[in-house]
Amino acid sequence: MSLLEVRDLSVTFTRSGQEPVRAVDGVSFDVAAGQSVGIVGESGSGKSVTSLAVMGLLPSRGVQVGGTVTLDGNELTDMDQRALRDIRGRDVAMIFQDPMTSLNPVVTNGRQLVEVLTRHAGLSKGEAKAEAEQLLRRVGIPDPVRRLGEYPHQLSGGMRQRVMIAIAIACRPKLLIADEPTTALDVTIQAQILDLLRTLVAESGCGMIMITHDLGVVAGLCDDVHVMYSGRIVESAGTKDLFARPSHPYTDGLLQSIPRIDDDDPADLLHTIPGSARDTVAWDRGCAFQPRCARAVAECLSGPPAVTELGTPIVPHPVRCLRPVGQDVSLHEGNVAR
Amino acid sequence: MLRFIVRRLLLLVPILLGLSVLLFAWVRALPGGPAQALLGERATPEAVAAIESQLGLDRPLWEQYLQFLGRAVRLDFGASLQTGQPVIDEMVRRFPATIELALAALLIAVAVGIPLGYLAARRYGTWIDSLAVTGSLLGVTIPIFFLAYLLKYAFSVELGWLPTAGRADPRARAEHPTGFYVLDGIVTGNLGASWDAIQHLILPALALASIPLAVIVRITRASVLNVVNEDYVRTAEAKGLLPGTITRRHVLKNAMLPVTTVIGLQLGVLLAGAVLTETVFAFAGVGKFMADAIVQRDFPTIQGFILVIAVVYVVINMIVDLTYGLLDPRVRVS
Repeated sequence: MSLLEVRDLSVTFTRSGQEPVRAVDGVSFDVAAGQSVGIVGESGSGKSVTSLAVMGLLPSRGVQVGGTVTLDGNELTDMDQRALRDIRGRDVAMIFQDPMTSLNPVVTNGRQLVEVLTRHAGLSKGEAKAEAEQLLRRVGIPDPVRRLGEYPHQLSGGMRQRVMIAIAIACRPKLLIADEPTTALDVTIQAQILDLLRTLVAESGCGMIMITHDLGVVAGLCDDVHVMYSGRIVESAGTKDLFARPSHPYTDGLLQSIPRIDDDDPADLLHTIPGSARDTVAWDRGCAFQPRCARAVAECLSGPPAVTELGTPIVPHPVRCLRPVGQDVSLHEGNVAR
Repeated sequence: MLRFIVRRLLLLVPILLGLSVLLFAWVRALPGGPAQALLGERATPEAVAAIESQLGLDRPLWEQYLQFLGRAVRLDFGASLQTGQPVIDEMVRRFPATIELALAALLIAVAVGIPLGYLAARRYGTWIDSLAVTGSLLGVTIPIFFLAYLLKYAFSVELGWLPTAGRADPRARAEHPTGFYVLDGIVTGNLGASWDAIQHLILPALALASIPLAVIVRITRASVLNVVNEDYVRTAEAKGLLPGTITRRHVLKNAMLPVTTVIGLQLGVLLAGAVLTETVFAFAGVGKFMADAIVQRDFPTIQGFILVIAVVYVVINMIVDLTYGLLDPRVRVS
């Protein structure tokens, strides 16, 4: 049994007088202990909502959550907020996108770190302070004693994200959810933060969900990847497999959109996926990616596309597409060989 | 910190200079000039001339201004035309009453306004919220003197629960070493006198509190609504903190920043409102004295009052800025 099992998760936002919006639709995936799983997608694909649903952090009003989330055998979707509060911060912890706004500006770094320790780890204030110092040292913050007494605005963006990470790992969670932890940071700092996360996961053996729109982050960090589009997972595979054999046209488009430094053809400087995520089709009617897809055929609009299994039972590689890339006469020479 | 205070105090100088010019010009702009204003419309030209020379009004304007300024710096605003006593003495004697009233009103406004505003925000869109919003709209719109008469009629005249006017029961014997009647009762061990003073304070303080209360409710509500959607509150939720900790440490501590500013600014409104409230309740503070001075054309008193209020206002603003620094580390002066 995996550490985290998400089965058929769906999240629907309802507002009176408006059509309900299904932000996440039938999402299933597993995270094993010590494993890093990437969830990739663009803005509005439902990846952040998925993570908030796992944390039980979606507002109760106007939101319907379906499916199950099981952490270490405990069903989270059935729990009330009281029970969830005991689990959040202790068993599951989260790192958010923007460290500029995710820390309380009027409370010292130390207190924000200590409060989670005294809440969950049963430490006294003094013990928690000593532990907080160790944690800051562990996430690579120099002069931790001074930093504990300072406020978030006295730290750089990278340092703040390190504080956020220290808070997240404080109670040695079983599962760490990182929601675009490097998006708001400089490129050089991004690499440092990713390095730190990789080290921490390897050391602690916790599971990690890395939510990102950046396939580069996934390549360096994750074991498995799920690509989301318009609220559904459209392709899942081991990271190496996915990069070697992108099968959903969307994944393929994403990979081709990464500029390559060794690409000499001036006519093909930057590949893009035409249209925007708003040009979509309800999954009930057909493939949501159809309006932007170069490979689309008429059948793509006849009901929800079936999942094709391109892998093996041991190394699965399911794709939600009728005409996966490389499975027929491909538009891409490189894939024809397969 | 000290430099900050000194800088703010130095800022008082241009403000007060500007104000002194305005006040000086205003008295000179009275129809017929100050002497005429003093003596009334039917004064003989001889009497006017005599007063003018007695008050130095026949000198050049700049000389008159410098003289006015020189005296004002020494807190000498001349004698009140109502009592013949120095204006500053009259004000010092009456200020405790007004401060007591203003503090009582502020206490009501803060103690009721912040919880109500918070509740309205947390119950956003429910009847509690609507009630708070409508009530606070009523609070800022209703004229103080009208509310004051309404309260007086309902609670003093009809129900007879509270005294109609004054600061204390005239039959009671009490000593007043500080001039703050509630405090005086405690200091002299006469708790009955304190209770009596509190009873006299309730209605005027309620009337005076209406505007600050309404403003504090609205600002608290808006501020809490803003803060609960902040990322750091979500972080606090993600940490599994208890709701009480989240409310106190992460929501209220941030939401109180704009509220603090407003509370400070409302103190100025309270001082202005005291003029009306004290008049309705015959409450012997500077406000009442000022209202009488306006009716009696007691311009030395009016000048002195306005200057003193201006100083108080600027000093309060400075204190608000300092508290802001205490509450928000980002604006702390290094």
